Formats: sequence, C-alpha cells, structure tokens
Amino acid sequence: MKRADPRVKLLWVLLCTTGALVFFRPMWMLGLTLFSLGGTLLFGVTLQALGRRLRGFLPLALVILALHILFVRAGNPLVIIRGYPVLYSGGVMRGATTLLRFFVILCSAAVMARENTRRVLTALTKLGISYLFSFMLMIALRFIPSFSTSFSDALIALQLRGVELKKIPFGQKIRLYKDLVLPVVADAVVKSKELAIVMEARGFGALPTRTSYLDVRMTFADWVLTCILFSLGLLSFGFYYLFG
Amino acid sequence: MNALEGRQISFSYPRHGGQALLTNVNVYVRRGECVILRGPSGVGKSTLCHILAGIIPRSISGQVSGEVFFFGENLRFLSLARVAETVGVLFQNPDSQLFFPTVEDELAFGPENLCLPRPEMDKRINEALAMVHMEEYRLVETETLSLGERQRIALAAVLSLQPRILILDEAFSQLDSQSVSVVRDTIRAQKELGRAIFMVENSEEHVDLADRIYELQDGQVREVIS
Repeated sequence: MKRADPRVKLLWVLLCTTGALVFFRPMWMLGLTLFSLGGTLLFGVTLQALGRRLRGFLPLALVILALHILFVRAGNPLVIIRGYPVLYSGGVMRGATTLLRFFVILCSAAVMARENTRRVLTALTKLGISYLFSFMLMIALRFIPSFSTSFSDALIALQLRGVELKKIPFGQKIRLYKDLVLPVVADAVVKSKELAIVMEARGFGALPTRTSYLDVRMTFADWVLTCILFSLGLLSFGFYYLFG
Repeated sequence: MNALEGRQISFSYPRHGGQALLTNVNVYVRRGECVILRGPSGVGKSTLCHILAGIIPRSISGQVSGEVFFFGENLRFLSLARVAETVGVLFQNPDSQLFFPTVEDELAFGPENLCLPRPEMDKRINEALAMVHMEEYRLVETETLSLGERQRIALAAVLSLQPRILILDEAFSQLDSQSVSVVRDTIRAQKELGRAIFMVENSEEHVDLADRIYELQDGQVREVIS
C-alpha cells in the first residue's frame, strides 16, 4: 500500500478528516483513531516518524486537554474538593475525544507529507482540479517551511546582536516578534516575486494546456482499495447517523 | 543576423523619481558567441538582463524604451511560448529557481509548459543532466543538494528548454570550485552548439570565456575588449 495511487490516499484522508469532524461519540472516535493509525502505518509512515510529528503538537494537545477538563462541566463529578466538583466525566471524555481528533488529523498530514507532491499534483489534475489551482496549493505548502526558516533566521540574527530573548519580559518579546513579522513577510513577497519570474521564464502559462512528464495510473489494487474505502465510509457514516 | 540585440534601450524605475538607470544602450550577441557584461554593483546589469529576456516590462514594471530582437524578430511581437523556447535565463540565487521536490520534476517543468511529448521530455532531461554532470541526481530531492549543485540543476532546467540564447546573471557568484568548472564547461559546450550567451560577470577569472566584453557605467554600455 506504500505505493498506492495518491487519489486513494486522498480518499482515505477525506474519510479520516470528515470522520474527525463528524464523530463526537468517544467510542466512534476511538474506532476512527485505530482506523487512521492502521492506514498511516500501511501507507508507509513509520511509528518513529509519526512520533516526531506528534511531539511538536504535544504541548498544545495537553493545553487543550487541560482546558476541557477544567471548563467542561457535564456528566458525573469525578473529583470533589471540599464539596466543590473540579473534575467531571464529561470534561475528561470531551478532552480525550478532542485529542483523538488531533491525532487523526496528524495521521492524515503524515501520510500526505510522505507522498511526492508532484504525484499529488498530477493526481489532482486527473481528478479534474485545475492545474493552476493545484500548483498554487503545492507552492504555498512549500513556502510554509521557508517562512518559518526566515523567522527563525531573523531571531538568530537578533540574538547574535546581543539580544537575549530568554531575559526579555513577555510583553517586550511580543512587541519584538511583531516587529520581525514585517521584514519576514516582505522577504516572502520578494521570494514569491522571484519565483514568479523564474516560472514565467520557463514558459509557465505560455500555452493554454500543458503535458505532464509524470503519469499516475490507478492499478487493480488501487481500484479495490478505493471500493473498500468507499463502502467503509458509506457504512460508517450511515450507521453513525442512524444508530450513533 | 545577430542572435540577440538590444537597440537604444533606456530604463528608469518610477520609484527612483524617473532617474534613468540605462540610457540608449546598444548591445548584441552573435550566434555561437559569448559576451560578458561587467560593471559596479547597482548600475543596472541585472536590469539589462531582465529587459533582454523580456522580463521587463512583462513581469517587472518600469519605464522602458528601445527594442529587443531575437534573431531579427522583435520581442514585443513574440508570444511567451516563443520567448521561453528562444531565451533561457539563469539567475544568481539558486534557491528561488527550484520549486519542485525532485531534480527530475524540476527539469520537466519547462518542457511540460511547452507541451512537449513525454519521449522528447525524457531525452531533454537526460541531455541536460549530462551537460551539468549530474545524471545520477535525477531522482534526488532538490532540498538535499548543496548550493553549487542546485545552481547546476537550475542551469540544467534552463537547458532542458534548449534555448538558442542564454542569459546568465552572475551565475558563478555562489558556486564551489567543482561547480564553477562544470558551468564553465557547459558554457563552452553551448557556444560550440551555436548558442548565443550573454552573461553578467565581474570576476576576471572567467574573462577567457568571452569573445567580447561590455562595461556598464553611468547608464551607458561600451565595448571594452573585442
């Protein structure tokens, strides 16, 4: 399944992310999480790679969990301190469901990040999505890391000039970041302009159509997988609305 | 007939209060000839390259007058497709010239835009990679390449369009010694193939590549060595 057609992976991502948005019951979310994890591993993402991706989101996930536990007052009280209930079963369940939702979305991102963007681009074009739109999407996704690199470069440059970020009070730090945003955005604009010039110099948009060197073809296994995913999607969403 | 010719080119950026950067500049490059343009920083060397490649005024705005001819045809009346297959431009910064995940994708982009069939694209990719001695890098991710290797791939991407005119804007400035030697060999090979080469280069190290040298100063171009 590692070499599955990008369209199959896109369908799987669509099912997982739609489920993550639709399912609110914890058991359904747990089922979706196991389905996502299984798919992620079958599509060739290693547990280590997934772990690395999760580690970055761990602080945010913990904050979300804490907020749910503290502020959702539904279900039975689980912990009562001096007659005041501080922890409810509903809060814990809601927090856990939200964490699983995050996990499912990260699994989808991990699978798509492992796929060659050119294959995705060709697959999207074959699905009837305009090449221009798909290409713009691809370029935008490639720009995000370069944007964060520019920002961290600017921070390093500041520190090399003697500014100790750790010692600056929070308010001043926020002002500093605000001042850095403008040059970083300006740098991104310059880069995008250079990119547009290079693309045009290589004939981008010169003709109303274009050919594609890379071709993606659905194999028999891809069709089987697509049918399985479609059936699974229809069944699970149908069941959820009828009996969930 | 000259391969590339700029006649009476004048240019000024509106934001500079209309002050002329180039005034009545005349340059030409013959088939199979390499011409170097040199001059101090900020005199308008890159601007002249952009005008000769048609990037100004198509993509960058500014007040430009004069005419540019490719093999006797006025650039003003050529379609973007004709311009792209006639003139190839290599810029200074390799990072802004590569935008696909792998080397192969990068080299296929130009021929795809010109609607070439797949076997022809395959042939061109092979030839371009061989030209910059990077055949084994075909499926490598561009992000893993060194700066010099990226510039060689950017050059290969330009060569995959098989342009009859090459404009190189300080193409050597960020290269390591091995890449410099490869790019020099490529320029010589392109000259032998009859391509016209116009390059901005200030280093004395590459003067031997040139058949003629232009110097740009105070908005004027003069031929210093023939």
